[in-house]
Amino acid sequence: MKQLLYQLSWWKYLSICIILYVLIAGFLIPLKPGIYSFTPALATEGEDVSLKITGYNTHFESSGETNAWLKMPDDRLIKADSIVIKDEVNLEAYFSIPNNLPDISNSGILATIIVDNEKDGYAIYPQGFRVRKGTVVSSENAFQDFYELSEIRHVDGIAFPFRNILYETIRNTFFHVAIWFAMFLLLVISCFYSIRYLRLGSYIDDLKSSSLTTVAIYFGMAGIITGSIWAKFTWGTFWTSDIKLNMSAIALLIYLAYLVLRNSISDVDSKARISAVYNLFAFVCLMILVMVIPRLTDSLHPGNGGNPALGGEDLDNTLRMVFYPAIIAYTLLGIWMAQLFYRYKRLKMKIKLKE
Amino acid sequence: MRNLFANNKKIPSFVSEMSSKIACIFILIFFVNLNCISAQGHAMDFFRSTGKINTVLAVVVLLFLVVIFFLLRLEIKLNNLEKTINDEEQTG
Amino acid sequence: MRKEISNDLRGKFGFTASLLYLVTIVFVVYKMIGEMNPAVKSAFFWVIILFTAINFVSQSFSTHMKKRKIYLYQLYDPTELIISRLILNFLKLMIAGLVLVLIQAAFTNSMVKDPLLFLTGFLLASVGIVSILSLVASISIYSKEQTGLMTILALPLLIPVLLLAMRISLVSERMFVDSSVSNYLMMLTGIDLLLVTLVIVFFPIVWKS
Repeated sequence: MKQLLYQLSWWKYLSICIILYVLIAGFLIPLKPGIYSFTPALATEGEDVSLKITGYNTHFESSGETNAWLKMPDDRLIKADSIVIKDEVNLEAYFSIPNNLPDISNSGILATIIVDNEKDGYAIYPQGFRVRKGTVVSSENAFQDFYELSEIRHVDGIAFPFRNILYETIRNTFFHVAIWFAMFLLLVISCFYSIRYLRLGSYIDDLKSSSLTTVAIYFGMAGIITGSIWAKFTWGTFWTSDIKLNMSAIALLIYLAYLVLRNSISDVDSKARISAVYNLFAFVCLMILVMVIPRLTDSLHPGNGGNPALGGEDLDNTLRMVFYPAIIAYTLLGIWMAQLFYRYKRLKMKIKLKE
Repeated sequence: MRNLFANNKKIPSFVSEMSSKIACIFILIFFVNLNCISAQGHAMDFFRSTGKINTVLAVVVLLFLVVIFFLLRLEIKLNNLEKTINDEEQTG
Repeated sequence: MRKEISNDLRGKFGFTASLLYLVTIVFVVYKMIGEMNPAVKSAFFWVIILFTAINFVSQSFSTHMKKRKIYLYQLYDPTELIISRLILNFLKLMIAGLVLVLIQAAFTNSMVKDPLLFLTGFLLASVGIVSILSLVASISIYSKEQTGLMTILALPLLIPVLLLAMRISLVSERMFVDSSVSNYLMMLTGIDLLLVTLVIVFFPIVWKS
């Protein structure tokens, strides 16, 4: 044990610690309160409607006064006339929807449901409640008694954002998404060693580069498998024709071809040289792929169709607090794995040279 | 893979064959399980219960399995290497 | 360069064979499918162009090249060699593309709706295709299974260029209007420049042994 403690270098301990942190923080930090479901799904102008709302992680009963709102597309709010709270997560809100809503088209408008109280802050269901255009056109019950957005209370606290459909799987950001980023970092380091091999010509660099690439392939496989499981329970299928999925499959193909190439060349010297060149070339092509493809098509993934991949709504500060350490941790773990593999390869090479 | 099995042929090793099989079986079982249970309604509910938290669990378990798989393969390779070294010492 | 061309003309049987291969495939596919809409037509165009290109580029870096390698190595600078190879293969791909377009026009009785755009797209894409294929072909000389390895290595690398080219040719067939076509052309040009420089840098490293 003493020997083990002495031998491991500091960054290995660091990776263990950060992985523990990621696991603990990633699982224990709660989700922000949100709205899980509601019925009915639509109403008409001028109608009185009672909305049954089911919350998630909410405390309707134990906190003070709870309000419910309907947010119109122009950011004005309609307040619920009265609210009946059933338990912590269920309530029924009675709205009387006014006539002559602004900017209403024939298909109606999509209103956002908001519930807020002192303990939870606000919980929202974005643009889910459809209000149809009424048949009665009268100027009497016009849209007058509205509230501003500043009326809504919010509570600051450490919690992950609540997203419909995703729910708790937003935590997969630290496992599935981070493993992709770690894969790319490993590939970058591998390219660094390839360049060093081409400049200095030492076999050690070639071995390092190839073992890093091997571990990166493992991570890529893990990324694809975990991604397809996540997709199954959010989008409904193991494999969508989503372009990012196919892109990652292409990346894997490129690097599996790298392994085939290495296996098919017998001469040690040309094997190292050729695979270094291919590694660099493949990495550049992969980068081109990553840059070009998302511009061509829409994707289910963030970063397309106007919403930024990093920053904005998709990655808030609490997520970042765990996500960035997770990337570092997986990269360090990958380097560790690659180092073991590299040491094995070096030993094998030494034995071969002896023979 | 090819390398691995080529080495196995030269040095028949009970341990290495066993562990590679075990690794494959682990992953197979996981997938078969997932496929079977996802065909039935209640297992879908399992993965979707409490805000789909079990999906996250499955993802973490899979990452763990991939690392384990890597370790197992390295183990097999190291075993083979040790065998060659030992054989050489015995003969030479 | 001149010697390269004369060398190549001596071995022009290979290229004629690939052209014949192209014609045969087109004939077979049109016999099998018959009518096809512009989307299928242009996808089909790119797939055939791709395989023809793989065919003759791998020939130009093939075993017979390997035999003469020492001779070539003494005679030329590798940079010069790869540049002349790139230009030659590019010209060949141009000819193949032209033939393919003509045959397709003959079979379907309709030309491409926007020939100028199609031509620019094809020119830019074929620079990319030729440079990737040349490097991969020169890499796969070292392996035992040359042609098999070549397809495995090249196809995934070619995908970005092919997707862009496909999009451009769909726009030129007036399948849909896309305001960012000039953007795609710019992207393709950038990719071409990058790829060509990379190939010119890397080829001497691969070549020496």
